[in-house]
Amino acid sequence: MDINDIKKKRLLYDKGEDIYFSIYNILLLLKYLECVNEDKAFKDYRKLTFLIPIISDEVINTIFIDYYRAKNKINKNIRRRLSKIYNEGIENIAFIRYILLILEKNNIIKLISEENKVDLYLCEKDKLEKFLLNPIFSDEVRRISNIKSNKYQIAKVSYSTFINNLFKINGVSVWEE
Amino acid sequence: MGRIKIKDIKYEGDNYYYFNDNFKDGLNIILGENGNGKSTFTYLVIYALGGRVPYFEQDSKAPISVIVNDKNNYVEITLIINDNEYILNRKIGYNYISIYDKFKEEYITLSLIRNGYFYEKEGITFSDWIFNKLGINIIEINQNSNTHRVNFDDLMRLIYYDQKTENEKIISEFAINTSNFYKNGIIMRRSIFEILISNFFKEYYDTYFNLKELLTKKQDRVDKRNAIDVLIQNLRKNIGVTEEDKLLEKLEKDKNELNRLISIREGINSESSFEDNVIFRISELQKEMVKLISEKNMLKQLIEDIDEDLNKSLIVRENLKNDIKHLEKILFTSQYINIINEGKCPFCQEKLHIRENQCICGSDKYLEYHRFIYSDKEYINIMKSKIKGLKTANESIEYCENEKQNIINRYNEIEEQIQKNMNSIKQITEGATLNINSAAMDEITENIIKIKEEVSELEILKEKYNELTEISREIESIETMIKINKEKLDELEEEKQRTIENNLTEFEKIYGDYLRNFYGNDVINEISLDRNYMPIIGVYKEQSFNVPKRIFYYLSLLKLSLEKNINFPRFLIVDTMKAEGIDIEKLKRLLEYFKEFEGMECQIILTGGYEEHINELDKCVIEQLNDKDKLLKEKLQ
Repeated sequence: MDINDIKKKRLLYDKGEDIYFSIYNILLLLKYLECVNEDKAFKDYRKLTFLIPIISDEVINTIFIDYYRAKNKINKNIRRRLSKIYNEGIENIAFIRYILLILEKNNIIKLISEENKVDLYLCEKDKLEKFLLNPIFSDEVRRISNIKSNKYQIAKVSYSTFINNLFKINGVSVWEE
Repeated sequence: MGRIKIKDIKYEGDNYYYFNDNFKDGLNIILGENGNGKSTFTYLVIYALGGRVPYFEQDSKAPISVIVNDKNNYVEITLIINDNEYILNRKIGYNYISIYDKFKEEYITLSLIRNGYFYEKEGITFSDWIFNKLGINIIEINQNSNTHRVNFDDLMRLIYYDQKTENEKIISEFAINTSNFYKNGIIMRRSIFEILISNFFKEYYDTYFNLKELLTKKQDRVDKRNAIDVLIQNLRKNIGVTEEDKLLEKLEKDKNELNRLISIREGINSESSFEDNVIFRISELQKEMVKLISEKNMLKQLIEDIDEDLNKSLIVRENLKNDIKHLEKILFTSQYINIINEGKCPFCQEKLHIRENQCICGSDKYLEYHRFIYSDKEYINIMKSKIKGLKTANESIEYCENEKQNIINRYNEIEEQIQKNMNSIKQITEGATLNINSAAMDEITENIIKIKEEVSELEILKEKYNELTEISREIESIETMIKINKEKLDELEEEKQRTIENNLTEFEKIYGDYLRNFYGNDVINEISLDRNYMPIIGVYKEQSFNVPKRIFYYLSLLKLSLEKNINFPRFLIVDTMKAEGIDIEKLKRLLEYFKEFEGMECQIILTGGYEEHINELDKCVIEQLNDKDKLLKEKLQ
């Protein structure tokens, strides 16, 4: 690769499309939402695509806390922001699917296929313990605990309820039923 | 290049002692059963060479009690580095080593860490000392945004074959904290290997440190220039001159004004009527007021503009900070979970068979799929460019803030001046109706004093401008030097890489020959090193295979050091190869490979059990331990 290609590659870099970025966020979600066996599996992988920005960005995290289940009255700017999160999330689902397949291939997670959805859980918990407990992730862990509430049951809630509570209820137009 | 050889070793405390001076060139074997002190023997050597041995520490979870509970104990070795003899003495539990140079008959005590009394006193550590004796220059590696120095104990990780490290990992992790991101990092491991298989590039490191010095020098001049800049800013704020070329003009004008005012004052004193002068003064003041108010409005607009810029910069800075944090985590993840491997399909993890100019799917619409996969080095480069961006953002924020403060100061000054002028007009008009000239007189005197002060400030300003030009010229010349050195460093870097690559090919050949010879050509044919210099063997092997896989790696380094001029100090410590259920026959066969080093210009210290010992190597045994005669001997009270 010559120097121009290297520069181009650096310019093209987008963390949203970075495999390792998604990997560490997914693993942190599974660990701290305690999805570590089949009974506690994370329901419907598609929610991950929205949860990754929610736990990696402080502003989006705050928006989630303030507006999930229409806790506060929404304004135009926030709605626009939510709409952007929705559209980007939908675009990223295929990418997340690839990553999950890679992770399963590496025996890090287990996927459970059901009739119309795919659930997952973390299966190498002990081996990854040191990695996931590293203080480098303290911001993410804090943001996960912000959204972790018994009332919401983020890991267990169905995809359509999740979409409804975060987007539809706040007036964001969505494509799926 | 440098060579290390041990001549004798001694341990002594209030209760125990040990001494051995049977060390020779080539192979040195210590025989013993489990628990007789074979490993302790190697720990003593490592400790004397400045390494960390957790079992010797008071708060260790598994202390070697005879040593930890002994008092006033130390370990001492006579070390030969390139034909010079040194006696190294380290007290147990202390982080410094006393060295006696037998040739120069000099004593020196050096710290193992970069602080404390001994470091302050000598300015170097033990590691710096031994690197110097071995002819290895101080080496720095860049990881993320930090610079680290590679120390001697880091290089020991491929010189000391310990029992604690999982053999699969090859490079020793003895006494290394698992949470130490830097020591466990791939970049560190790669650097250790690269340093050991290369030779000393004096010109490269000279240029490197020269460049570093130039950069420091430049920073110093830039700081100086900034200080002058601030001074000039303050002076300009006081005087109200915004551009350099207006300075001389203003100086001239002030001098003229001074003469004019002085003559007016004389006129007031001599003339009986001053009505005209009062009117003149008021119209002057009026003109000034109009000017001041328009400037005030302009400044207000300027402040708003700057505020907008400032907000934008703050957002950019926040985003960059977040990106850097994410990249650090990405890098950490990639080092912990190494999923994307070159040569493997990123999706199915099977081996890739890509023909040239083809995509991963086989299509000839050539698309470099490498573009979507980032290596650690590329992540680091992305991070570096972000850090650079962050620096720029910080600078521009600082600049905006300074600029804003200057404008606010000027704004306040104008307000004050407007207020002052209002008062003056009031006073003059009051004085005029009363037909008293003292108010006008005071006003003029006040102005004379003010202008006189201004003139002296202008002269200082002129001088500072000259200084500024000079220092800028100096910075420019340093920058040219930096550029030249950078280019030279790039060239040398390339040359260094070429040497490493040549030696790497040689290493691969030696290592491959060892394994093929041990297992037979038909079992193993394809052996290569991955990007982290870890071996890839084409076929599945049983668990016990990890033993030959690791030991031959160390032996290959040793062998390479005998053939080529490299940094590896021709010194190897092997603490018991028996592990992972390897059978005795295989162990005996492995031992055969040590025979060729007999009498060579190198030193191997090998510990092992009686079971796997082969008689041909009897003459190499330098110590035999058993349950009744353990390593550390009790002193007779």
